[in-house]
Amino acid sequence: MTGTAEPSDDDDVLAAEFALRLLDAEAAAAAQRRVLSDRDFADRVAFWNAALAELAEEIDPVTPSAEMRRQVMDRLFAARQAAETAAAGVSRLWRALGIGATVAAVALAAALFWTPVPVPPRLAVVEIVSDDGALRYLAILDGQERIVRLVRTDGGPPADGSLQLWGIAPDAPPVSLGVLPVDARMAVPVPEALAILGDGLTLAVSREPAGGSPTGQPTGEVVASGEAADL
Amino acid sequence: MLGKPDLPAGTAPMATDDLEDLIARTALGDRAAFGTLYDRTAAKLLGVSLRILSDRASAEDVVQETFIKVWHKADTYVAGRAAPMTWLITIARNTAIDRLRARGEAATLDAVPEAALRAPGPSPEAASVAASEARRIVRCLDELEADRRAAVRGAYLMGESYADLARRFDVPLNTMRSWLRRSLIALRDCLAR
Repeated sequence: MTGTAEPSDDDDVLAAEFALRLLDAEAAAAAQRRVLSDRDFADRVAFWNAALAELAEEIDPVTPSAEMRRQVMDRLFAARQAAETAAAGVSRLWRALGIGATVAAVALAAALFWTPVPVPPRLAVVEIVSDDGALRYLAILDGQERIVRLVRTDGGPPADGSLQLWGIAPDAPPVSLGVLPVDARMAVPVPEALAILGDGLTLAVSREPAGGSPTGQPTGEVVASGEAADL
Repeated sequence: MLGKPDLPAGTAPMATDDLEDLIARTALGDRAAFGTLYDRTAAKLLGVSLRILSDRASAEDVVQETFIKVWHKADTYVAGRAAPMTWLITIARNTAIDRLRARGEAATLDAVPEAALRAPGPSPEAASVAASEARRIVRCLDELEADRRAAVRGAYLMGESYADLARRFDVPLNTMRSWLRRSLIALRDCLAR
């Protein structure tokens, strides 16, 4: 920074450099953490993104190939469609044999387990609650896409510092799932280091310095936690 | 925030509300809405990516990745915090720059000066001035000296890094940094007026 600049100038320049993607990897990661935990800084970045996006108005659209559209839809939906079709096929087979729904469901689960039919998305849910119940989050774990979606259902962002989310598998060190945003919702990809996404997993929220734990492990008090249950 | 989204030339005006609605429905898993969102915005995003990457195959890959991110992240879009087109362009531009930087690192290893691979081309600046006088950012950029203006535009539109810009303008890296930072403060002051 230019030593004479006011703090707000520094933050605005940093926000602009972040929006322009001029920062090196380390500085960009630090700025990204600030976007998630510092509403004022997030607003500055949003200001620059909006202002600069006006520059893109001069760029002419370029019509993409039809092939490109097909590829996007295939990458997103083909695998899921195959899994749904396979599951529906097995289910129809059991119905055709006149077997009751419950038996069919158990048998379907067994069939899915024992045969190489693609497995439908595996979902689990966690309610992360503080001891006094004042802070609550509901998280959905998507084992197929390896994404955690989280919504704050009670309480607000911390007055200072950051809250950080951790995934803790039995007999393993906590794996950071990121700093919780000021906003009530977030969706985060799950690092490979977290081996399970369902029964047995604990999610915990710890109080950390602004921007998150400097050590990669929880350093502050655990303010809320909950255990995952498969759906 | 932007007053209105970008309009692909020759298409019917598209309201911000419509795009917000499509993103909201995408967040709920509505594939038809996602398809419509793609149809309305993919061409613009391909234009943005192509300006940064210069080659069509990479730019198409980037737009594909962009829409995959849009499908997964649609529920994180907060209407009112960013115009929908700003949100989409930001995702596409960031994805394109990630690819550009990865390519730049590979090129550095091969000792190929990356700036040399991307010729400046016909000045889009000159072509766009008449059409864009009404836009705030362009008016404010006009208050900067010509080379400072070109540096900001290069950073945004072509994804040039400080190192790229220092090479292009033949100044030391630190000089380029302080140029650009001063330009950004001047821009902010003008935009805030």
